[in-house]
Amino acid sequence: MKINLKILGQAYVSANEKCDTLEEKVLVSNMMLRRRLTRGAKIAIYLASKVGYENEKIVFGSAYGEVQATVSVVESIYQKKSLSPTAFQNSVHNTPVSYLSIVSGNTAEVTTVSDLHDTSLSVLKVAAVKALKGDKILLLNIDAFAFDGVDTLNRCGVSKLESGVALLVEMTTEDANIYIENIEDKALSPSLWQMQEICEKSINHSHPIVEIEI
Amino acid sequence: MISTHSVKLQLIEGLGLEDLDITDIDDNTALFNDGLGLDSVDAIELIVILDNAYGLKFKNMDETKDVFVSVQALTNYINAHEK
Amino acid sequence: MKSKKVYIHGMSACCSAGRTSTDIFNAAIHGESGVKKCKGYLISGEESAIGKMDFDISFNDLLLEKVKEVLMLSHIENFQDTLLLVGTSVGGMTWAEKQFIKDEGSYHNIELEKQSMQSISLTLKKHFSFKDAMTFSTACTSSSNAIGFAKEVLEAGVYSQVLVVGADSISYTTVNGFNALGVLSSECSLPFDSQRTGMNVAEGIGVLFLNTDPSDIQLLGVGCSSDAYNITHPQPEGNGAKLAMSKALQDAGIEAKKIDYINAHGTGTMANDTAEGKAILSLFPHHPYVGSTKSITGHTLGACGAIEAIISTDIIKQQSIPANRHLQIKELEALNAVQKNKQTEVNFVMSNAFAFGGNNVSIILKRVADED
Repeated sequence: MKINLKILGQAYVSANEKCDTLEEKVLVSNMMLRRRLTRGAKIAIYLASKVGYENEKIVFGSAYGEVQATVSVVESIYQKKSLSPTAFQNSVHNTPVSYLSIVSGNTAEVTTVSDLHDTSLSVLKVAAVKALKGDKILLLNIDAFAFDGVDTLNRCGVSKLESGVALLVEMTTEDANIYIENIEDKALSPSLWQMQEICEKSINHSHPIVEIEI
Repeated sequence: MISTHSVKLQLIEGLGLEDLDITDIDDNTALFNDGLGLDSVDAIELIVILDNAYGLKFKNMDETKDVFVSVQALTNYINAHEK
Repeated sequence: MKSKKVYIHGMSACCSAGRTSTDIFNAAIHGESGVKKCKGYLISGEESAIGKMDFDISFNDLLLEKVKEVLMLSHIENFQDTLLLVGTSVGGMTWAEKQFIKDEGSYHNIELEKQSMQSISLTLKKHFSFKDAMTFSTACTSSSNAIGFAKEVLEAGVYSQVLVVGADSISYTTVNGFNALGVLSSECSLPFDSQRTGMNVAEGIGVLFLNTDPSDIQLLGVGCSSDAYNITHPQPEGNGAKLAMSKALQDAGIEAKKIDYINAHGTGTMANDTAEGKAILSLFPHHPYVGSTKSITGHTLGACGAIEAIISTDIIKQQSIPANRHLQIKELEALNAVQKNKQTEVNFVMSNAFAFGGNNVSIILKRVADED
């Protein structure tokens, strides 16, 4: 089955180590909440603000999840040191979009998928099905995996250790003009490629509509 | 002996209180609820910090009630019990 | 386009309370908990009360056993036309942390495929061919979200067959993590009891095959919501839970008073049970029976949605509601939390799951009578 999605807004960020333009002090004025945000959460909040997000349903994907929080927990366990409860609560894959829903007061449905290099496709397919009901959907795909041991695990040789893509979409019966060609971007984790490709193709398009094959 | 100054630095760093510096925290301001506004997760984080930094242990949250009242109370406790 | 109706066919589950769904249901009826005290998980060296499976077979082999069983029960030759939806919050973390400790704090043997959330799906794809596969990972609502998405794809005719697999194994991370948050009990949990002291981390697997051919159990409604409140604590009045339950009723097209039994999330923590109890009282003034089976199975985290959907279907098939094990004094007087097994007419069951970050999913199952 093919489902066509109109791209209403798109945004992306990437950095070799750390994205430094996430405007977190402006977007999250409450310091007591802001201090707990993970890198993924800050990227999610920033990207949502750039695509015209207005508390829509969210479909989020992350191949590696909350790496720093997970590493912190596992290191504590290995060293038999007391665990940080903040690190544990922040280590679930849903964390970035949970914080986004808290910051924006969004009580709509939020779901997270994680399929390693297939993550972009999982996000797109899940969102496409959810879009059939007529709702606008915010799609996010974020990887933020800078940590001390990253060189050992970075076997793809990815140079952008922080990156994220956001698409705001709704289903349409109009013909598609963007098709996924699986364009590779060696600087990014393969988990982001398809969504990044759609983002780039839609940026300069006046009326971007992508075909999603399920 | 540690000072309230260094306890404040530990709170700011350990609890991620960005935007605050030591002059923003009064020795006698309430740490939880109305004063500084720390929450129940901060209380647990504080227990972890005190264990890792000073070897101090609490059996349960009730034991922290009088200790976590203010920076001064916390400093007094650390100086009295530090291992 | 009219939505197709969605039905559950083959089902299989295992957890500390039993190797099969029949064993688990019988354990619930007899109040036999799979939660036991054991050392070796908490870094302090103390005992914890957890639901560990003890069947002399690896987790992955159990996973394959459950899926093979469902294949056989569903009367299909293979899964080639089936969409696989996995719900997991641990993924391959149990393996990864053991490897990390064995390698004395080095990541050099950590294989991303084995560590990731996708590891469950990758393991299954080595033994079965699926049309496609996706993994949901939303902490304790993981497999509930998978069930919800199964309904969406089947209703819309995107797929004709879906296999939902909820699977989470016990890890040092989850046991020590919940302990760090102060919500782990050193005893078997007592959901809805005024003296409850917390939850028990557990492991388990739940597998369900769904399609649009009529069976005796219909997946009638699913509702999802977010608390938008706090990263660990539920909104105290249960507003997020209430919204998910309301949406499930709306999706099912039935009034609240039709619900006969609520299989609550009921973890045994102060925060969850109070909030969920209040939400139930507010939305269901007719006081349906309420129960949590987590005192029997432990909290199987990402797998609980699937496992408890299976327990709920057994409740419907047996027309029998298990008591809340050892429930003495209810915190909320008015909540109709059953204290003795009940043999009674059960047509509509609601099953809830609520997760960190305020992710809420409520599912409604319907008994399909012959005349339907």
